[in-house]
Amino acid sequence: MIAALGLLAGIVLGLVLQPDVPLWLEPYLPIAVVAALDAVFGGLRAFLDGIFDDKVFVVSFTSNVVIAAAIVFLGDKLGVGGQLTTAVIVVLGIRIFSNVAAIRRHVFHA
Amino acid sequence: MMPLLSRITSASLDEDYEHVAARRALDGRPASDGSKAWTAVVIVAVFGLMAVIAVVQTSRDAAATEEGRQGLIRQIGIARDSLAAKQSTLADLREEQTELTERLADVTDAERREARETLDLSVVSGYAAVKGEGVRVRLDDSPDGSGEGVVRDEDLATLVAGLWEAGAEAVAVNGQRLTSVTGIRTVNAAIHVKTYPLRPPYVVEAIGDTATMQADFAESSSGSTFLGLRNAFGFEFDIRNDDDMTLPGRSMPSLRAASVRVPAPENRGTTQ
Repeated sequence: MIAALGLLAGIVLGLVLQPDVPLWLEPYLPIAVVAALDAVFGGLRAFLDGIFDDKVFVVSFTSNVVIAAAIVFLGDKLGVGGQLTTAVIVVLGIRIFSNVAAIRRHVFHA
Repeated sequence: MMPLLSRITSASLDEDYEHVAARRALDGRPASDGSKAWTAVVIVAVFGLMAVIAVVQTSRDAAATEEGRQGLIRQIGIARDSLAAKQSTLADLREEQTELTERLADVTDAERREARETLDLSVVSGYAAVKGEGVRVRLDDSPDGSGEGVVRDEDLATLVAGLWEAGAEAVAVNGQRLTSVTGIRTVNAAIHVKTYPLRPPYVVEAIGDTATMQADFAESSSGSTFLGLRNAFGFEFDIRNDDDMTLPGRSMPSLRAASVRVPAPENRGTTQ
């Protein structure tokens, strides 16, 4: 419940401030958001599994974001940024789907 | 070795959660301390912030991209209009070119016709060299050497007139081609054709039908007049056919006083 309020606060803050993203960071923001989404759903699933730990959540969130951005950065430098982005999106997407499926099982007790 | 997809699916939850939970169970603490931790809330807030920033940025970029796209579309429209105008100009020019080509062909045809006509006229009027069969007349003063037996311009002119009447198409006297402005007259003792003095014997070459010319000459009025003169004054006279004669042409005189009277153009259906 508090986490939902935190999410709401972040969204409102973003809408109110509308900060400009530095140009060098711009290509990595979307992939970082997808990686963060994966971490958030993972945390939600762990919470519903009853094994949530905030330290693990922080670490997984941070490392997901940093690694995703780093992979895209490296890919850009190597000239395969597009393909690596696709690969990251595919893996994260599959994880998100399977986590969401687990969450659904918890919510609907199915 | 598990297939890649199954691996990703089965490991979708970070294993760290399970490890930590197992360690907690060993220590006898509860598996989770709930969601009261503020760090998690902060992290979620950061996530929300990031997501909103990304969305806002993307929509801004989309607006800029859309603007650029509209600009390009406008440019394409302008370029397309200009292309259409140029193509229509091209079509016009091509049509004009076709028309001009046709006119050029017409003009070339006309020019060729005129050149042909000019050549025909030159043949008739004596400004082009000609060859063909004809008669060769040899005329000389009377062998008796009397003053009356000398060939005068009149005699020669009568002979030539007789040949013209007999159907001669080209006449030359001592190699001097006769034209419409060539006179035969006596200056001092010598007969001049135009300005060239001639010396006897006079050789008159006339191109024409060899089958009929001699007879026609004798029957023509000038011819019979000349034959009468010849009998009266005793000129040496000899006429015979020649199968192959070549008469020179005169150079075309340049007209100074006379100018061409252009007849009213007939409407012959040519393009103007």
